[in-house]
Amino acid sequence: MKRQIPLMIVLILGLLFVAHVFIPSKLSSDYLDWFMKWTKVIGPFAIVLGVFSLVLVHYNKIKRKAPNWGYSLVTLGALIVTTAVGFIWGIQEGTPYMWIFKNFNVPLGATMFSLLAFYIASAAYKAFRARSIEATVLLVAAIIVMLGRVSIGQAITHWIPDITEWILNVPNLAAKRGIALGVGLGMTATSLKIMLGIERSYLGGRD
Amino acid sequence: MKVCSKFGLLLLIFTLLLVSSALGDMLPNNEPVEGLKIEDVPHDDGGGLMLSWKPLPKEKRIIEYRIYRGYTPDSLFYIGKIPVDAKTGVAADTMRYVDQGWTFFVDATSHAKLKHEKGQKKGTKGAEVLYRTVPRDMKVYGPMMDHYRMLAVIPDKEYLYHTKMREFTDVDTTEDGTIDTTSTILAGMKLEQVKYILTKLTVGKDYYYAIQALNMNRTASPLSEIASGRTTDDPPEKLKEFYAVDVTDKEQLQFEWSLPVFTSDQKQFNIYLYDEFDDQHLIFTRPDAYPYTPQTNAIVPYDSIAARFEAFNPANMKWYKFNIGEQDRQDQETLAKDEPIPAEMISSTTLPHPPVHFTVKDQPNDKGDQLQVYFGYPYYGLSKLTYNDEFTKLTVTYFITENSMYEVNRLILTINGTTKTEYVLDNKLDFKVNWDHTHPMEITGRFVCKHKGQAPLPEDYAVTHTFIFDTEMQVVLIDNPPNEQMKEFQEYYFQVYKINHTSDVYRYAKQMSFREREYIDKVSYETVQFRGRPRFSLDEKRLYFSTYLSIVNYKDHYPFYTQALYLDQLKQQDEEIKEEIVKLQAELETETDKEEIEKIENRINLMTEYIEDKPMIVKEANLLNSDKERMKMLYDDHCKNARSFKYYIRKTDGKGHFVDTPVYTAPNGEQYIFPKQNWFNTDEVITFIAVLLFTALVYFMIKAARKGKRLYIRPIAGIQEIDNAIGRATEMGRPILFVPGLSGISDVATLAGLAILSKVAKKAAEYDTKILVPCRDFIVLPIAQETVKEAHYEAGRPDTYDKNSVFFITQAQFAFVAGVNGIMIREKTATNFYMGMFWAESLLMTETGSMTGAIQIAGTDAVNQLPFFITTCDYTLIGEELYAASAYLSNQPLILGTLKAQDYMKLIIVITVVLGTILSTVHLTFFMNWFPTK
Repeated sequence: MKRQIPLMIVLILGLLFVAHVFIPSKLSSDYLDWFMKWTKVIGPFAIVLGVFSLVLVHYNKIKRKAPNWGYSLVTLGALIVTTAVGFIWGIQEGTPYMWIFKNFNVPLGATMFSLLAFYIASAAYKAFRARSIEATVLLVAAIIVMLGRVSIGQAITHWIPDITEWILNVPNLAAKRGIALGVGLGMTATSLKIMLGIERSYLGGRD
Repeated sequence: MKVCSKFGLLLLIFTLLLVSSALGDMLPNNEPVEGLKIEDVPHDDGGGLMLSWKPLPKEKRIIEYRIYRGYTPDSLFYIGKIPVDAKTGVAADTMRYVDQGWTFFVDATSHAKLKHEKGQKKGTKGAEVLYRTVPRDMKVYGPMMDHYRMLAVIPDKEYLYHTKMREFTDVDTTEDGTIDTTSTILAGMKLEQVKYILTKLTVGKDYYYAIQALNMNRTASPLSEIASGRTTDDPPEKLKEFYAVDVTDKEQLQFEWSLPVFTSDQKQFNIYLYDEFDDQHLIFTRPDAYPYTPQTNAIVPYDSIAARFEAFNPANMKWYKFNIGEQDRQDQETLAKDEPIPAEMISSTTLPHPPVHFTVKDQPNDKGDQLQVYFGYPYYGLSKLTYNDEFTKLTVTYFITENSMYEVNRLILTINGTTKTEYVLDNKLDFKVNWDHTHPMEITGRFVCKHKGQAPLPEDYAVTHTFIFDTEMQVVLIDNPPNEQMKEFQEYYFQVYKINHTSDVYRYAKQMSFREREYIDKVSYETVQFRGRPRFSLDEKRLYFSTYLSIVNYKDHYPFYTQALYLDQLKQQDEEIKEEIVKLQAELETETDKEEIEKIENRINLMTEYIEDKPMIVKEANLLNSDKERMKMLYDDHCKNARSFKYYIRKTDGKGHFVDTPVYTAPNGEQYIFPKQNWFNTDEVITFIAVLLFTALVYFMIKAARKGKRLYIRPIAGIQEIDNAIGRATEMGRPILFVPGLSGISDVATLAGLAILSKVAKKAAEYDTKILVPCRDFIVLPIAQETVKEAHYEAGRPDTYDKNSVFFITQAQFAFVAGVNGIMIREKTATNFYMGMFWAESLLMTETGSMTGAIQIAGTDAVNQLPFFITTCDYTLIGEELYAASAYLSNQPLILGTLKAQDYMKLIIVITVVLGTILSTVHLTFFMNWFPTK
């Protein structure tokens, strides 16, 4: 029963959602709205699980004096301080919470994101090393596309932007659509496996 | 310990910094807002006041101005704010806030109790009078309702089925000293049952306002002076435009005017004729359609004028002048023109041609809340024309507007004698022409259409555009200047008007340009009732609203029948009316004045009709004993009438030159069209067939696998290497990192990732290798924990399961990356798995993993992230391989069956694509058109 009830719920709700795609009636539409409202209500409760896990992991590290436990102290400290100021002064513009967000969270996030530029350069170097025919084709295509995207490409010859457009719209798009097709079928197959109870690992794996 | 104390110190400094910032010591805000003035909003319905004040200087770093209102100066409630950019401040000398229209008053989510506003120090000026929003405490909001206009928005179900009937008896003493007793039955509801209550200022009443400014530290400024203003119901505004046109051969006058800004107080438009002696005669009245947009034009036949102005003579038209007055509900009127205007005299031949084939029908494949309004032949327009340097190649970017009646299959374009047929309407067509770009050129388009139930397109129907190269601007100008055909097109536009059973005037539904051919009219389901001025009972904690539902009576002299909610109320009403009839009949016997007798007889007739000649639906409903069943029957009828519309289209230039289509009549003779809900979406037929086909394939493949048929699955390197990668981590004695994507549990990629996690964790448990699973989503977290736990149980190693190995990091995308990267570096993970949905963070993680020397296997269906994974990971599962991985790893026939079905389905799709391509290439587009385009 412990397994059958969740599987039954999954099957019934799954079929209802599939039916919604083909049934545009008011009943079907109201059901979806109602379900979405419940999803929104349930979601925030799960945050407790996340916070509990975070606190437990870092508390244990501090307790055991695990290597680098100082970082755990900072994490927990930041969690407590941010939560406290949020509860005490609110989270609107001008509150300490917003000050933390603007002066810590945003610049740190931006720093991480900006690293991406350097990592892309490094990844591009790896990809474009002309060690094989495929890599050489990739290198040539990349050079054309890069030139076609800037005005210097047009200045060299109007063929470069035209070839760029062709590369992006024909072979690139064809490959993308091919992958998307496989993904679509894969998603449908996985959904079907879950609905029919063939794939049960999300329930914990044991039958 | 040293490290620990350093961190502690940092944390302390950080906290102190925050607290000092929060206390606002850094930025004093000790100047009140000055110059607060309250003025009446001109031309409105007496429900608006305009506040103005001098903003504080930029240096004060103000982030918002908060507005408080009350009907006495000793209690002001927060009603709204104006946010300000603290860095730029307010450039203007004056700030304004208009307190007008229906604004939020109270609902079940309001504060429970009356709360003083924060930020005002006790004992300071204004601190005791300032409150937060109106609370849901009836003791507070109940008495306030007498000082405002109120409008409650009540869900239909609550109003019709879950109210409590209560009778109120009001006793009034009249001027002559007699006591008048009135009994009223109202429907009682709790505040929780009401969606919300809106409020509006009352006419001729004083209201008090104050302003408070908040700076960046959220420190409130001292309260401004409390200022007051009185609402006044002003005469309506002047209409900006008014045109009069005399269509002599049709013997009618046509008028057109502009819309007023304020319509809430609008009662009607009056059109006046001024005769040769400048005497004013009212010749036409158009009631307003509030809360909808009214018609802004009218056709007035000579006969109708003559009925109101006996001396009317069309021969004197050149002497007549016209004006329009806008009249409000207080019967105040404003004329549009200072001097009346003469009518422009034209013949009907100069009027535009009405749109052809005007049709209204139910929109298919919807939930019953849309109607299709369409007309005319298809149109094509040019969005862009590009050319090569030699002007020998033109690329035409076009768009087509069509409707359900004429669906375009092909577009035939001709430029300079060169004709090309566009079989696949992809909005782009190349032409090889020799264009002398110093001269304009024409492009003509003809259509090949499916004509559903209509005559085919006229053979000579074509749309021609002119284009010219502007040598100065170096661009191609389209229809600038327009040719004769485009001039006529561009001069006119279409106005769609509609009316339902429960209205007595047409309302404006949509304005359409000359390019448009179809309009989907939203006919929303009725979900709420609006009721004004509730009573309240503090003992019962209930609000009481008037009880009625409007039912259509289908009688010209008595179009609407107001029906009570409760059967008891209905019986009581009928009894009261019967008593009234008896009284009137008694009066009739003693009355001698003929006029009075006629009046009394009329009243008796109306009352008798109300009781005896009820609409059929009301008679049927009143036979039911349950209030609930009765209301359901009446409400269904009410909704059907409220949602059935009849339509007509007016083609106009906005200056009185217009022509109407007749009101649309369906083939069954019905003019009111009702939108019906559909139970199958025919647009999804192909999808439905594909789903059935795929399900059948899965079924047969699973059956075949169960019977022991060996299913060949092509080897995928990334999946085959999973075992080796886990083995490597075991040999090195280092942990495995598994990231199940950054998406939530509703993403199928996350579920596929968790399925792979189950297999990897089992293998890791068997080898006694530690696995770390950081999660970004807190719903994914417990599922991942359970998956890993069960994997350990399956491997027979429950003792090695560590709950803390599956943990939550954060929801912030880049903070999560920082956390994962930190784990890779600190824990020196030997093998990294990335399975699921990823965004921009993918490269940041895999590049770090690559630098730490870990073996990396990634799998995602995010097409844009695949190149990053391929470059930085050792193995990548591309798209569908992610979904196939768990099947590969499990090697169960059931799961392998679905995989094989996927392959066969792909084969079918590939065959379909190839077939479609071949057929389209030879201009057979029927096959391609079977498939939905989205």
